[in-house]
Amino acid sequence: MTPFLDAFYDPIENLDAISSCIESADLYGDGDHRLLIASRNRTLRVYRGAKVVAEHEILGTPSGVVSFRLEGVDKSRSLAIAIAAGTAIFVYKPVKGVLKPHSKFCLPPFQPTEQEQDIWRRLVGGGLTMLEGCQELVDLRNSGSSISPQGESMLTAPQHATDTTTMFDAVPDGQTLDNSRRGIVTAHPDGIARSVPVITAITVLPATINEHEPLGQIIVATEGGDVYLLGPSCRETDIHYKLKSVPIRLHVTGTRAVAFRVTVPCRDRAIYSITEQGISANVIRAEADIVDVVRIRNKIFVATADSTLSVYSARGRREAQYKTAAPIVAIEHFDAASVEGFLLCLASGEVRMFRGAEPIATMQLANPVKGIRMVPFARESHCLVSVTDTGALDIKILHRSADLGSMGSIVESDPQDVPLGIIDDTTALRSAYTREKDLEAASKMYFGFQTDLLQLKLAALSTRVKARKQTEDTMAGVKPQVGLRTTIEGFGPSFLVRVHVSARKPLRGLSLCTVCHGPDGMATARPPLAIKDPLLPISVLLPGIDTVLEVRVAVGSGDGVVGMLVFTVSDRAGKVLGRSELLTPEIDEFVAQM
Amino acid sequence: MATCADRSANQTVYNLYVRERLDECLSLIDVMESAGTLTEYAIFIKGLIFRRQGKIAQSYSLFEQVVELNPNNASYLKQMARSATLLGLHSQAIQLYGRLEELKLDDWESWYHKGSCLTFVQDYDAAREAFLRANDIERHLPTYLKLGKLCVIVEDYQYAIKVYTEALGFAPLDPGLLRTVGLLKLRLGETQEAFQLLGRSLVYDKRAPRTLLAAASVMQDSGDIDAALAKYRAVAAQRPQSAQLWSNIGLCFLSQDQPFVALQCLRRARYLAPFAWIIAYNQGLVHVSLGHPLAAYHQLRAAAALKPDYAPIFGLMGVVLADLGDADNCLAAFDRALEFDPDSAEIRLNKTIALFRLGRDSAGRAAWAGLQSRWGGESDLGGSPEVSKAAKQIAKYISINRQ
Repeated sequence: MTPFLDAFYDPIENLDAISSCIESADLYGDGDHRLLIASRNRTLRVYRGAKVVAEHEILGTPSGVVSFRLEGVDKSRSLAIAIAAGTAIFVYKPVKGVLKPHSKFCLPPFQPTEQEQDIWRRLVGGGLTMLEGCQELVDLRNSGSSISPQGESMLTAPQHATDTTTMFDAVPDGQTLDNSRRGIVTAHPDGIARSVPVITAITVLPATINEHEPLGQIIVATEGGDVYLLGPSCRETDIHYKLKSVPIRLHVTGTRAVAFRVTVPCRDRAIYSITEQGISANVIRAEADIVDVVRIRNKIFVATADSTLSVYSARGRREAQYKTAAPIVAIEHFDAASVEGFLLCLASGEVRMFRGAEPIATMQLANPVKGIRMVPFARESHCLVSVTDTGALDIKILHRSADLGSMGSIVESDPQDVPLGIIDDTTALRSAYTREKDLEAASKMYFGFQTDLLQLKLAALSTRVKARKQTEDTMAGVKPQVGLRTTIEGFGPSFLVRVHVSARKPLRGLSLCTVCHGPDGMATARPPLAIKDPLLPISVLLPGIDTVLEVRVAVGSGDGVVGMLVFTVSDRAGKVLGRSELLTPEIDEFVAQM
Repeated sequence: MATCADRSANQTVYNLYVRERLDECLSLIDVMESAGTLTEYAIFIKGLIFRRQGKIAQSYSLFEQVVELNPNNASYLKQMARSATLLGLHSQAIQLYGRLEELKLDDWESWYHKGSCLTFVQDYDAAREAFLRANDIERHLPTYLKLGKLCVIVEDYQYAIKVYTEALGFAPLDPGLLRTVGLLKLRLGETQEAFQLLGRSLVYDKRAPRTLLAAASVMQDSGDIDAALAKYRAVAAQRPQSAQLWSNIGLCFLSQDQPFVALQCLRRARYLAPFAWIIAYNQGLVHVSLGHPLAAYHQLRAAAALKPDYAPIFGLMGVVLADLGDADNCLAAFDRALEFDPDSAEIRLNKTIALFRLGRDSAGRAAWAGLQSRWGGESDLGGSPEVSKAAKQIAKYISINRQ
């Protein structure tokens, strides 16, 4: 049973947003929370109820959207929206009922080393070819220095005709500089460009626990592994932390006024904890790539790409691990109706609701979730907003009378109670029982079977003799110019026969003919095997190289008689250059051989 | 004109990759490539995706490319070594792990994977050292499991138990570990302890098919058929395609005197694994118990073709052929069985009975005399009550016919 009520579903919203790009805010202080969704197609949509009231273009791919209190020049604080997109944070403020762009903040730029600047100067000045420049950049990186994103682009650019040229050399005729190293150098005539780190995650550190003023300062993480706590005015950085890997999300517990802890999962499977004192020495190492984490009091729930949910203590000890039926696509924290828990979304479309580590509800969505948040929306304090894989927007309201605290844990059905599903069809077995009840009848059937088997073997042997004789007659006085070897694949009723054809000298314009003969060695109207392609052309045969042709055969209406497949290779004049045969039965009778 | 690498796409690439949207991720990387904004990280992820799609050689060349660009990146080196391992280039992989050691990162994972590679090249001492080193840096369950497995390979069971005991101290609630230790104990003949460990494993993961199967087979062996069937039911719900499972279920039903249901299960098992000789043999057994000698003969013939060196198949085939009255083939089957297991009193006894049934009394008496001189008496023929009972009956028959 689910504690949610379906409120709104639009399958054609065309949204593409992960959980961090979904936010809600009481923008105009009227108690009517607007929903803000920053989509990967660089748009920010503002929803009031089911209606889109504003749509803004964003100058970059969004990595997160948050609402916070922005400190003005006069130290007054007003509600604002911050969107991390590309290398900048774009701040929007509601003005007279309309959300308007307010400011843009970029993090401190990357400082290239003196050596790298020198390499770029020489590249621009024509002192180095593009390849020489790349080599120097690689050497610089090998010496332990980090290089700029521009340098990285230079190294990852594909090979190009202009790679061996300097800036003084003319561009070869007909060559464009698109996607080339020279193109990068040409685009930056002043040497190295000022590069600003890309933001990968954004969150808000609450100032106090005061519910009326819950929003505080912004924390951002970058592609370079830096984590910055920005000032209240969002114009400068306050504190800077340097991690060894790239953070993927930021999760905050506590407040700026008292104490805080930021849990930072990274791309190298490490989970760091940052406090006011700095980066904690307790680093959790997950066993697979991290999808996301959730922190509830002293427990850290880690969803990984190997369909596993692991529970770690704050000290980094793994306490439990659960395998999920499908890959995890999102895990999101919620704090509703005085219950703290998380939502676990699977690629199968299933969403599970956990209170602590206890599953309390599950629901099946039509499509897998891409992003999910439990936020206040409109006048409801707890709404489940999800953006699905197909771009649909789904909003569900937590039932006002839902008591998440007293909901019982989901009891899964005991797998031992599932019936085996054996079809009660023993007719055939009972008839066999009746047939063999009389031992004499069984004995008769056994000897009848053995006689038939012997006859079949004799027929096979006789056919084999005839086949050999026929081959000898056909090829009498002719030196075979083509060698044939056959292999069979498959268990039936269809088989694949591979015919390996080899020649001693180059031959052209040949064909492989496959015929199925009856037990007397003659072509029959009802052949035991049906051949799909009886005539296959061989354009050329070269000595030392086997040509492999595939002939598909299927069991025909031969009534179980022994048959023979005859393969002949002939030239255009019809002269047979090679011949081989294959018998239909594959008999390996153990008892008769004893 | 080329632009600077768009590192803002890296996060999207990562998000798509970890959420298993691999096609979407690959097409984004292709777009980056065609736009000239390809990053090192995108190439790296492309390598990981290719590896998951089974394109190991392509993934290896992509990792080679990123390692060339950034030779000091431990992740790149590690993944290149992993692809080398999967390609069977173990010595190359070991060299790459050596390069990782030179970076002095003290990374347990590289030692762990190095140990795995050394296990593949059968350098077991070095592999053990590598696993121990990995555990010195940071203790992880996979390292314990690999080390334990290595000890089992070199048949150092005591050390394996020691490793697993230490691992249980580290992760006492891990169902996979409990199952592994349980199976090892089962192998060492410590059935009671093994069963307890399997039971504990089931407490934490009551749906684990391998654990359920192992626990159920222990129950089946100890004669608790109902409990075994309950466990098999839980496995069948998850792994309905397991031939071994249906074969075991079939034998459970046979023990419960439901031979027709048993045959149904065995037929399903045979359909799922037509080349599993044990299933054909089991089918033969059920047919023998039902008194279907011809059906039994066909199943046993199939089993013999698949497993031509297993004495009980030929022993049972001899019994069946005696029923069918094919004396020559019957004796040939018993001779073949005794070729593989000359010390089996059961086969010799069956042969003696078959000789009497086929009317070859003198040969039967000679075989019985040989049997007695070899084992000394009908009560010592191997301990099985059925064998002793049959021996007594045959002794009685001979004594009556002599009079």
